[in-house]
Amino acid sequence: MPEEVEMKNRLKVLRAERNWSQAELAGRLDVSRQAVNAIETGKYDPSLPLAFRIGRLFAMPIEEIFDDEQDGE
Amino acid sequence: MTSKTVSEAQPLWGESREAARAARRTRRRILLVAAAIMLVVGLPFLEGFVDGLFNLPRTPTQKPLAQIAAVIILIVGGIVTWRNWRETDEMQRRLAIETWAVIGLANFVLHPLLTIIGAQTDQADFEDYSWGVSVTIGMAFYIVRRVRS
Repeated sequence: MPEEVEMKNRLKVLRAERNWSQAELAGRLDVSRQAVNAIETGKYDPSLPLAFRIGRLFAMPIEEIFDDEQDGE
Repeated sequence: MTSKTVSEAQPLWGESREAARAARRTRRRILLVAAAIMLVVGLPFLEGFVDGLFNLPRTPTQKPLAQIAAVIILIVGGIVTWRNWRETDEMQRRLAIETWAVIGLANFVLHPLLTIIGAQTDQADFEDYSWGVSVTIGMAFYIVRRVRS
């Protein structure tokens, strides 16, 4: 049985670099502020379409924002 | 020297958008509660008021009227659900699906269990409580997940 992979992301850092609040980022991504908070704290993994939206917003590839912590394997 | 009033910084467009979204959500909730109160309390009250006005004897709602009311409730429920679904984001949708699943699963387990308990303890329609208990479990699940996120 495949083990559950914990995702980490740099969303909070990227948001802070741009001086955006969670509400600002939520508005730009067209999701709720609660969703941004849940993604930042790792309680919710976004869908692929939302991950792509996040990547486009920060002009970065998805793998530079999200990390499944399996790089060392 | 002229004094200058320093106004607060204007919210960024994303924040305005999120604020508008939150305002729409609040408005929708108020409308939903008002509609629910109207349906559950308002309609029977109106019916009684009309009966009293025309001094009509109290009679049970005629079948065609009850059927029309059922169809209206179904349509309104459908529209409200559809609008809610469109307004929410993917995380809220997933939480809603999980909550419905918890309610369904709880009822799936509780209904036969309460039927057996009701039969063993000679309590009529004891299994009818399963929906109430299931919805309570579902709401508890929803609240815990919302607080945690």
